[in-house]
Amino acid sequence: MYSTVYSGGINGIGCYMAKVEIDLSRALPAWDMVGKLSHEVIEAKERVKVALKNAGIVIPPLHITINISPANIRKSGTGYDLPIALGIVTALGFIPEDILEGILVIGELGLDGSVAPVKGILPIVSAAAAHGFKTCIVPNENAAEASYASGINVIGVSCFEEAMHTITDLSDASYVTPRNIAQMIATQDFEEDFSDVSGQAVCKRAALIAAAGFHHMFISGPPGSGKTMIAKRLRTIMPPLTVDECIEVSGIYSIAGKLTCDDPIITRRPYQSPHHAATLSSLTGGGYDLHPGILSLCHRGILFLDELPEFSRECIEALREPLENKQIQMSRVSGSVSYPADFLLVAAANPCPCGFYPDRNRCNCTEHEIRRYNSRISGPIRDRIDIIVSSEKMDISGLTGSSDPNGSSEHMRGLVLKARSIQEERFKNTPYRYNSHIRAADIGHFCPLDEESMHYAEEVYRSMNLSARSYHKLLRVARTIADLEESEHIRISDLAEAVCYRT
Amino acid sequence: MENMIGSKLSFREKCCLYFFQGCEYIGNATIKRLFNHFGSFEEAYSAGENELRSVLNQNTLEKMLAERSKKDIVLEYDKVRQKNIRHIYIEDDDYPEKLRGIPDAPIALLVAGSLPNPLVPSVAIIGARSCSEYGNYMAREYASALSGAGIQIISGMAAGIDGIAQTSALSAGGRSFAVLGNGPDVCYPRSNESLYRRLLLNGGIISEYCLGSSGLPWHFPVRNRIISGLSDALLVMEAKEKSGTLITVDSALEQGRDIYALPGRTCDKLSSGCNNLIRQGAGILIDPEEFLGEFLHTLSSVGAYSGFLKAKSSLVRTPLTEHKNGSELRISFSSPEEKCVYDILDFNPKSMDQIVSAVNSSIPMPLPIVLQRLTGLCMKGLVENISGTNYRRKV
Ligand SMILES: Nc1ncnc2c1ncn2[C@@H]1O[C@H](COP(=O)(O)OP(=O)(O)OP(=O)(O)O)[C@@H](O)[C@H]1O
Ligand SMILES: [Mg+2]
Ligand SMILES: [Zn+2]
Repeated sequence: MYSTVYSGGINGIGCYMAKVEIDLSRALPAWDMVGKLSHEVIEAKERVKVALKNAGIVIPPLHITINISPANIRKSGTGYDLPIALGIVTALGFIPEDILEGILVIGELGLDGSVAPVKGILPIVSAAAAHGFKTCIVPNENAAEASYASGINVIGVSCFEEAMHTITDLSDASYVTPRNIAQMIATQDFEEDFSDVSGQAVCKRAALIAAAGFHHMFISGPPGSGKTMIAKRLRTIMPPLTVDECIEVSGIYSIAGKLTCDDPIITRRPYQSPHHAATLSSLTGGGYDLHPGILSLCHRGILFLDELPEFSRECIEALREPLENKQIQMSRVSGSVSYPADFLLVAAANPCPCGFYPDRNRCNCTEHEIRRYNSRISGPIRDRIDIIVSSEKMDISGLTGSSDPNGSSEHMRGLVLKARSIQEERFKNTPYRYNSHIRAADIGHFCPLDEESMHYAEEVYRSMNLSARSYHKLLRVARTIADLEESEHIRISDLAEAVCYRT
Repeated sequence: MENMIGSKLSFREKCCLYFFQGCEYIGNATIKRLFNHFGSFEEAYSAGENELRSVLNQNTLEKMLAERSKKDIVLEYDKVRQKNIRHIYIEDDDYPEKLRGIPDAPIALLVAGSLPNPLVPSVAIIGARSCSEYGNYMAREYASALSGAGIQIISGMAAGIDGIAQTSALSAGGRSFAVLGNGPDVCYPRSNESLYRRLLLNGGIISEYCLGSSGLPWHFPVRNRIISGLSDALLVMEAKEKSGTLITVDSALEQGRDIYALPGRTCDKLSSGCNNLIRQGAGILIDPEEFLGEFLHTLSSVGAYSGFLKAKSSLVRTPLTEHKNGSELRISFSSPEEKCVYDILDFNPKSMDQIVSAVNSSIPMPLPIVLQRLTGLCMKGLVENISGTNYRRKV
């Protein structure tokens, strides 16, 4: 007696399709499971036995052998419970054998036969659709999430018996239909808006440039000066995610187990602001069960690091790789996995340990203390930040003043969108998407200067004693400013403004 | 034995003197009393307990006896010579004449590098350790103007004003001398390591404390009398109401040195000490050139440094005859906006936001224009950028 059930699993950010083979033979009763399984997969045995018994199915004393292939990938998680249970009842003849062909099954079983949700459903089901599966059976609580995978019918089940009945009579099954993502994206709105921020003209302008060219930015300013406010509002002026990006981001959240049935898909750009006491592994992810960390949960969104110098050195250093490669590589015994981590970094810090420098009436920090405080942000991180601005504590007149209509998120987003479409045009057929991505070798090509502005740029380079690296940063930021002004060429005025944000 | 040449003390005497200097609990005055009582340092060193009791109190005596029994004074003294440090006794020929006259003159000095040239005037520039950008800037201005005129700069090599002034003096090609509150071989604060090394080459490190001695809190007020003692005038750049800097001012007053203070805004705590000094009659520092002229004039009127002054006669200026005026009018601005931005700035750093809102209450203009004008002013050298996002006037 033999049966096969198809399932799938997560390996880092990628998925694989798994074949669960079950053989029942008349030999000494035993239960063997093979296929590079981690302990929670092997524990399926106990859950399945009891769940079947409580569903009224008695497993006769047989030698049960279960093999989950491909054997070269380490399998983890509890999603194999349901396929194993269905495989056993099929091998026992309760279900006709050919019914399971072309169906992906995944879900955890409780002892009472209930089917519990598992992590990573959305990417697994998407991968199954790509592999040609037509139908999938997933835990009810994961059904909404799974429905966003296109080209596959999704059936949600809440207990084992329901799964058995559904399978035996597929023609009766009702498929879960997704909500329209494009519409959700179009109608989303944010609680926060840039018009909430009074004053801070320079910070807002810098935020606009950062959003337009995907430039990492750094805000230095005293406590309570609105650094968090600015960072939180940055995503309100970024272009909305595309449908593909929604699926991509939701996939990461799915693997991290952060999608719920109420919120089965992410349609807003993520915003993450870990506390400075965050551990290295919470940022980068990994761990025993290989989960994505905060740096991946803000993929395509904003990573806000408040009080950057207070983060541990190893955490700050861990930013280097994602800032450089837009992903995080994890080496494990069983091979290496990588998580995407393409975020816009907004870092904030006080200008000195007490926060009030250069107001010497309040700040007593010595030069040495100030230097040491700032040196915690190492050169390599600084080098990847294109824009530095300071935020100013508002006096009361600033806070009560009327708001500027050009300072609303909607207005600013309009400008960003225009600058983004110019960049799209520019970077067609190139590996780049934004001005901040342009590598040094291509700066000359994408940031052309006419004779006049070339002369000016040289003057800046000399008089400000810039390094080649900061000169390139200057040109990238100037490129974005010119795009915001819809100017084809980088003009002197764009360079002059960019100089003020130099790092 | 080279450094004994010209010394009024024998080698053995110097060893014994150095021993007493190395006793933390025996001060400068006590060493002098010991010498007066016993007639020589060696006598004092080898004196019996009962003899010593008439000069030292019981506590000091016990500590000294304990230290005497475990130290090899010749070996200790040898370290001084090995490090190329001179030990100069108050009666020695090369002991600075200016210091001999001050109350509580140090009985001996340890000098790494050289001592100030007695034929050239010296000015002390001192001030707060956590200074403002304004103080920082002004310390640089005064130090480089004075050392450019050949004047030696004396200070305490502390963080803030002291170190800034001395660094600028050296960078302007002048000579500078640091008086330390710790041993001359100890660099404190560590952040002034490179300044310390430069001072050894183009000036000197002076201290009354023994090798390896760390700066105990009460050393610093005491060494301040040497800073003012070595100087012909004392410039205070920034000081809070109650600060160590004002201790130096007190010793300078006691020694009859001229005191000048840099005025500041009345609301700035860092300027309150200086403003008060001015109210009490200190000279006011308005402009480095003006000060220089006035200072040299004072020197020449008392007939000091005649050789030096002869060479610098063009700089001597009677006070308050010439004023620089209309310096602002000479600046040519490229646009009214540029002038507007410049007018808003002063020598205290302002953040971009402060500048933008100040500009908007005078001539409203779009933010990018303000930033562009700011960059223009920086490139003309009229304005400078401080700590990334703040700006202030340079001229
Ligand atoms: N420019 C501003 N406009 C409107 N409200 C402001 C502004 N700046 C500060 N606030 C008010 O002050 C509060 C503190 O702001 P926020 O948390 O952004 O400051 P912060 O710079 O991040 O401070 P900290 O360094 O303490 O984290 C805000 O909730 C807001 O109510
Ligand atoms: Mg905050
Ligand atoms: Zn401070």
